[in-house]
Amino acid sequence: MSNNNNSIGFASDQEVRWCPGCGDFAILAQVKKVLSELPIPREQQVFLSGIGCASRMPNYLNTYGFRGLHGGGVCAAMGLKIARPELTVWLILGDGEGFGPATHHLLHAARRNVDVKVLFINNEIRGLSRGQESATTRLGTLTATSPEGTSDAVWHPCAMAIASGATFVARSLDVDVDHLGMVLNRAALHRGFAFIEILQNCKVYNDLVFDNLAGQHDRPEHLIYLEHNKPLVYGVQNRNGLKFEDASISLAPPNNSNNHASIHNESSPNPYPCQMLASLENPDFPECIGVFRSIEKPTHHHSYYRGTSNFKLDLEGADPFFVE
Amino acid sequence: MAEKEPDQKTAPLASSLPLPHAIRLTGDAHDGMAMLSHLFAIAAGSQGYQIFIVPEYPAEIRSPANTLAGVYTSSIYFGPLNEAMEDRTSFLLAMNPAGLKLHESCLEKDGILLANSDSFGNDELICAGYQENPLVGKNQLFHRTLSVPMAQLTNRAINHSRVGDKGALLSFREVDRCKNLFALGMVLWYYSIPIEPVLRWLKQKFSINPSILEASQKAFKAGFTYAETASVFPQMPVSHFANAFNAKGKKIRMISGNEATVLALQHIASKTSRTVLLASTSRPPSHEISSLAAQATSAGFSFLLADDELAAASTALGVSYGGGLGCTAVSGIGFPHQSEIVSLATAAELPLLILEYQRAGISIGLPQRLAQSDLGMAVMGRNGEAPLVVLAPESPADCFETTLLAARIALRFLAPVCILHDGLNARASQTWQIPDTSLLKEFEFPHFASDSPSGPYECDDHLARPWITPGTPGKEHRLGGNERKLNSPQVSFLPQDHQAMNRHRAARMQRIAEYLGFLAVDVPGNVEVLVLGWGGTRSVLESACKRARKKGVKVAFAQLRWLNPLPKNMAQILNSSSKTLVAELNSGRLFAMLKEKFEFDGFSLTRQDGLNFVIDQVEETILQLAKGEPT
Repeated sequence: MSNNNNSIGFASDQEVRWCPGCGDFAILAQVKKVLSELPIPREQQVFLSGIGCASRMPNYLNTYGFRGLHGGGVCAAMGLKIARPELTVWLILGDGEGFGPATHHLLHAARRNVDVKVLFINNEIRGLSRGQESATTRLGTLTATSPEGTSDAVWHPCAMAIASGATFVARSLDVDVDHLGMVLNRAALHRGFAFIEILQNCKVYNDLVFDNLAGQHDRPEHLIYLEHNKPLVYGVQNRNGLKFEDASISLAPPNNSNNHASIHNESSPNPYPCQMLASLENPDFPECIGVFRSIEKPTHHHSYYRGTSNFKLDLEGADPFFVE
Repeated sequence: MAEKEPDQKTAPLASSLPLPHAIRLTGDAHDGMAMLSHLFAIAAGSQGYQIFIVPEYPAEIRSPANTLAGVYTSSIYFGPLNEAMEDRTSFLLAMNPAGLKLHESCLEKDGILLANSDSFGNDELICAGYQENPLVGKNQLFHRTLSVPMAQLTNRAINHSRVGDKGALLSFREVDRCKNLFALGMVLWYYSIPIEPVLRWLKQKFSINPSILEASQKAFKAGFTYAETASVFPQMPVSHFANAFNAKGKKIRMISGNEATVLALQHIASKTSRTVLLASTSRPPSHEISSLAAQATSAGFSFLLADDELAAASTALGVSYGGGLGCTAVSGIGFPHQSEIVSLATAAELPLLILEYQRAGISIGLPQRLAQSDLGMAVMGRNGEAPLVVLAPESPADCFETTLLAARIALRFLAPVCILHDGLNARASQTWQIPDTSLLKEFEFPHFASDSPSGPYECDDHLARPWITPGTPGKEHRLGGNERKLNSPQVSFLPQDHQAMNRHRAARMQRIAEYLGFLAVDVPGNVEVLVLGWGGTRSVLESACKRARKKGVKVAFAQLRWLNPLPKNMAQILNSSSKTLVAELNSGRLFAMLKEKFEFDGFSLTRQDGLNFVIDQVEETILQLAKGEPT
């Protein structure tokens, strides 16, 4: 293992260039911290990205890195794992790219269980193109391309990932550093497609959009921290809860007993409860933070067909002949 | 070039012959005509004939049965490729009226028409556009017509009493499928070609299904016997061809360009011990190599059916980033999709093979028809100044060597390389002496020592950077599509750095031109006309040159195996003759490229209807040019 495997040692010699106050700083710090704690050598860590503010991250990490094109990183990660299964491959995507040119690549990679850790950094805006709307921008938001407010419905990244077959799906917050560190660590050790949505504040173009979750005011009333095999409770003294009933989810009547709420099971073979949790929105429901789903399945590079025979068999073909 | 590429020569062996001679087998695309021509080639090849099969597919996929749009034709030529081609045919097997309709004009007046009369019913005749049956009576088209009820005879031969009965071994459909083997038996008898190789093939192919095996053998033998007893035409004696090539005792196989390409990729994986991945989609005509690659079984080579062309190229590039060789097969409108990945591979300096299967038409166009339509896209079709090496195989067997050459360039220079295929080199097939791959030379890589202080972009004397792949301790670096400083991975947007990088990329192409060297062209003195071609049209163009030469015209032929960079001696080649005819199946792309760079007295011969050149027309153009008449 290389030297300098502490958080500082994972910083590259590049000047970090994000806007002051950008949530990406906190994410970068946590990534470096997690990398320094992982039992994986620096040279085995590869960060890929495309185009977007967050996609600069590979430049700031002293690991192997590849900054490709808008949307092409998902498949490049798949190719890299086919050639080099032993590497730990990370992919940085913003919501603009991830739900833009990378969308269908992302869904197929989830379906195939490609062993890549996707950091889907969601600030609900395209920051690099100066505040244009993305597929996660909330309805009615004024953006550079929607002066009257956005009119299109949004996608919920984690729900999409679960529906596509991702084997590890989690959500965290840029400012909740301990929780983010925990989620990144679990993702790093997961074998298969790990999708981590990180809610990130864009100070310039979409400031405070996650204030209901990240701000201190009334935070517990809007947020559930998911824990495996624990009840889905939130609010002051966990009085509020969520209940799965008849293929739907509802608010449980407030109660102090803790057993009024359903139990969260991240490894359930049934993906639909997790998918429902990932789709919940304020103000009607609390929003969830934590690991929605974590199951084991064969990874793409393990189940992928690889020939083992001698090349000579194919060279001669099925029906060679001798000139008589 | 010869010094640079001392690979064992895998091209077909030479022969002497009084040829050409062509056979056409035509019928519905569902009739199994491709298998029929393949079996004919095995039988004839075992006798020492060099065989070249050119398929003509329906323009669209899954065309309706018995229509003109649904006809599949195999043209079989005897002899070496450069003199085997023939516009007309002496023998036409028509399994249905639509096939006859499309090819009746190609059959010599005294040629033999063998037709399956069972498929010349009213409905089929109407579908093909015939008012009356062209096989019989006053409407008979050819006086040497052999009208044979092949389906009925096949049915009887297999065991009429049991077919379709309760407990029957085979269904009507299975029996009916054997009729093309009946036809093959007749054709082989006519050409005096022994049937044993076909019987061996059937035994091997259908060993797990004895009923099908028995039926196939019966139908095939019945056809041979029927021809012997019922035919009114004399056999074509074997000696007529006298073109047995010098391969006695050697192991031969039929190989299509697509098969040759997959084998070359497998060889690269085997020789380099690196992962070689072919990622492609199901877009025709590149869908064919996808299916072939998926069946490849050798270690180190793998195939991925990607979600789209961008995914295919990206996945391939990911393989190359990891130290393997990523390849992608693409055609039609998929090619522009990959432009951005080609550009990225150029910027990041990573190897990538793009196997481009040209097809006719813009947009969806005519997916299965012939064209050399993408030369402009391959050479110029990227944003910014991103040069791309472009090669073009001249024959099916040459796909093997061209793929190896492309890989040598890609791996030595860490650059993307495009191979332009067309229907005449990729989907055609020929007899091929199986090479001893242990004799093929090793692949070279840019020099890199793990203890060297060199960074990832410090170039060697080939202007190639060291290929430092993830996992190498102490060499962690970042690369990508942004502009950078020369010899450094450092991203830079400074004007002087961008200028320096553009010059660097252009200089690297010059080094690749040096690596490729001179194009060997046999141009004797006092040449009146030089014919210049590229891709799979070689066989037709060279056959036309030979004919013109017999008429006293001093004509030479040159085949451009690489189109970007052009051969170092391109100017000399163009100036070796007073007139140069550039022939290509597009609007004259190569001609325009050459005119832009060189001063020469040139003429452009083009064809853009989805079909190959006609030898007569090429020959006529050469004769006119030689006489100084306007073409």
